[in-house]
Amino acid sequence: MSRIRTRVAPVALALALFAGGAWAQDAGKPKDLVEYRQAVMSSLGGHTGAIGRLVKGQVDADHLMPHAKAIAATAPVVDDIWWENSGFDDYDRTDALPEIWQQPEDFQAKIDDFQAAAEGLVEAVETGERGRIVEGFKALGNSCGGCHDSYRVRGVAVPIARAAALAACLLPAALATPAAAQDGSAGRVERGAYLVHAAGCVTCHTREGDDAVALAGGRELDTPYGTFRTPNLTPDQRTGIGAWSQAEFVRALRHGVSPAGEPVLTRPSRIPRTPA
Amino acid sequence: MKRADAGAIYAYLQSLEPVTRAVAPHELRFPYGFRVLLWPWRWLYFEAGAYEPDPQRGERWNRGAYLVRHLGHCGECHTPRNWMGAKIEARHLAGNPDGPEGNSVPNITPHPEDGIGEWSRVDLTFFLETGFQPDGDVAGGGMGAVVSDSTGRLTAADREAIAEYLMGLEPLPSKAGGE
Repeated sequence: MSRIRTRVAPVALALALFAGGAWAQDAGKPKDLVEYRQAVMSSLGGHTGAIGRLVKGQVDADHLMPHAKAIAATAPVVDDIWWENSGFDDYDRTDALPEIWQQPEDFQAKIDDFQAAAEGLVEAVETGERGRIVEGFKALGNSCGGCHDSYRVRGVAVPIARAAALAACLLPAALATPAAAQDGSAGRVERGAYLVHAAGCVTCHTREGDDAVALAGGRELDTPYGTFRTPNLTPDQRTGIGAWSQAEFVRALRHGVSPAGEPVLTRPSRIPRTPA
Repeated sequence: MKRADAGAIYAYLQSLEPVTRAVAPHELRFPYGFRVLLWPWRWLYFEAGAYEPDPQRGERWNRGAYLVRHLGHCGECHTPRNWMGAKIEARHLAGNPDGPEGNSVPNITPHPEDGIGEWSRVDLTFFLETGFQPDGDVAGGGMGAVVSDSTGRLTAADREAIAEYLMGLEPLPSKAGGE
């Protein structure tokens, strides 16, 4: 029974109590609860660290399955370690953010993702195919990182995590470019898609939010110099780059000059080869 | 950036579904909002043109340099900036205490204590592919997005090239003396 679900659903909590479930406050003292939770998380990190060494081939041992199973077996525990009296206000040596208790549904969804990914990794290891194991491990990493982003101190701001998750969801759609296949430029378009990803355009040129569209811009970048808002890179005639010629685009990217002749802040195209 | 690469990016972007979305202007602190100031800034800090390979180095190192310094622009976050917002090239990739969203960004030069000097090459390529660090923790935040949007989508050969370039950098401590 999830602490998070019980917290938002008094009826469920009552049922849990009725069924003999422990009263959240009685599980232990805040310090002990936080340290227990950290021990659980460290155990998971220990297993992912071990799997990493095995997958990288640094250690040649047939241990993938026991580690994958240990993570899957521990995953349900992660559902059950968010006691009401184990937040920062109760014991300040926790990295758990208050949003865990303020956004219980989103938090629970992330834990569910983690559990599904943990089971997916066991299935991948069963196949014995390295490619599938790596994909399963990446999916597990995404589920861990996705939750750390939003709910762990130093895990950085929520918007980035959301943008990342959205970009990851939207990219496959953006990559399917039916228009390109017809005009004989498919090879160049495909190469451009690879370069757009290699160059990291998507991360900044996609805004956060439920209505985000990959590369349509609008993301706010808070910097010491102020707030930048990234432009729309889709080929809309008025608000995007639809009216730009290739020469204009190439000039903007390589020389930092817009079609209107204004300077634009592109990244440097050439940097001194050896840093001074 | 290579001209052919810029052209391919143009071809790809033009192939996307157009989205009508006007973006509000930047809101920059005084005096950074005056676009005209970009001209002298560019004269100081911007060099247009193509990447020129270093003939002293191998093909893989040069590919890595192109990916890290040009296409991938890792230094935009991992290199500290001066008051004019220009990257301090002497501190190339040595970490940035004032990174995006107010976060500190780590040193990725091969410095044994402050950077990634203790990482093996496969540690690095595996991290770029999966986001898992050698200690089993997972990259979050901006780098998590970079792994899922960019480095995790590269070919293995390109990740190897990035590793070769980074491992060949001068190891810099996180804080330069007298800075």
